[in-house]
Amino acid sequence: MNAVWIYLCTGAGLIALGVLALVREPHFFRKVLAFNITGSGIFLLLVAAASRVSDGPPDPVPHAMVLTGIVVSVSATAVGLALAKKYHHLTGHTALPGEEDEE
Amino acid sequence: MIAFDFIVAAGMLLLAWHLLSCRDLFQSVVLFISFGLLMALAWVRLNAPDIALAEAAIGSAMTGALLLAALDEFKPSAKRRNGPGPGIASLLFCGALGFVLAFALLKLPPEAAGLRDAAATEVSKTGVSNPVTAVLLSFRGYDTLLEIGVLLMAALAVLSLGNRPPRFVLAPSRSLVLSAMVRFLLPILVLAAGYLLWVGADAPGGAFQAGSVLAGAFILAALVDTGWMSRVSDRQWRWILAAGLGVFLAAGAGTMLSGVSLLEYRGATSKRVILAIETAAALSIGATLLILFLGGTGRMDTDGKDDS
Repeated sequence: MNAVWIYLCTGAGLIALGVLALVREPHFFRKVLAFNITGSGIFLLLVAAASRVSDGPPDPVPHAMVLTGIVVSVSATAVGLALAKKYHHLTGHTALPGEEDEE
Repeated sequence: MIAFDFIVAAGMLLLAWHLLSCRDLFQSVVLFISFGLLMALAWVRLNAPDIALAEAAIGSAMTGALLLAALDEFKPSAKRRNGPGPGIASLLFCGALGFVLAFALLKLPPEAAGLRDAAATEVSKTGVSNPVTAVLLSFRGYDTLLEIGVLLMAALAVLSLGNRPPRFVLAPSRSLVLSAMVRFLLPILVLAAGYLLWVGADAPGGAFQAGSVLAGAFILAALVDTGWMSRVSDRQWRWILAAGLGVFLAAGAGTMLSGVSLLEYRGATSKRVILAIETAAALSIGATLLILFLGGTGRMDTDGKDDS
């Protein structure tokens, strides 16, 4: 058992936690947080899987993909938050109709 | 060191659980930023210093800033509803998802070098020696081109929604401590961004890390005073935002005109092309992240209309 397997399992755990919160939480802000946690889990999985080498540096290709992924996920977060802000500004709600509002 | 990995992993899972379930949104954001820093530690442990830098600067700090700016709109004390506990169906589904994933991953072969050796033999042809930079800008330049496009689209989407900038930007605190600190930090941040950009060719660093440090400098400057932003005209802002994608596309067109395929550059000019693309990209990334944070170029009045 080495460090790689610890991080692989952590990645799986983060994905499960993130998806659970994504479907459970009605508030837009918490959905964005859950989306980010899910993404972090996926990144961890990819990089941990690339580190399955006994000597030398790990595979750089998944590293570059994750670097791209981090930038795309911050863009998606910004657009999601901007849409949620606009929705709140126009309707006063922080969740979609049909799901319970918190306030 | 296994004990350290175990503590980092357990800390990440605990923080994730806590930040997704705690009652106060502000507390969630603070926990999210700490989660990002633990992630950066995990990246270092997994021999991924490029990602560790990007995670600390973009994943944790920039996302944290975006979340804090958004909290200004939502009531910071919005309480979590006290409904029934988590539904059995979703709990079962996500538990099963986690276990199936972990089970499948533990079945992976314990040794796999992937494309490492192929990348190591080709890296000398790219003019840079950091394999991650070589993958990003040479082997898979196409992906990075589209990624810069995604950033530009996000900036366009946020600009067209025209939200009002957060209150703490519209009515900045005239704090002497903040303005003195920013005056001291700004040149250091710009220098650090330039260093990260240059060193990215041969060591961990590169356009994304440099761009996000630059964005941090821009945001700090905007927190003290947004006056400097109006000195750059809207037309100039658009050019800065589009510069990264523009230079990248020009490089792609250039390689196609000279008879090889899109973004296929090698040999002596390769390093210069890569540095030119990265410089333009870093500037655009810095400006884009600033726009994403403010929701505009800082010259919006309180109705969200452009007053220029």
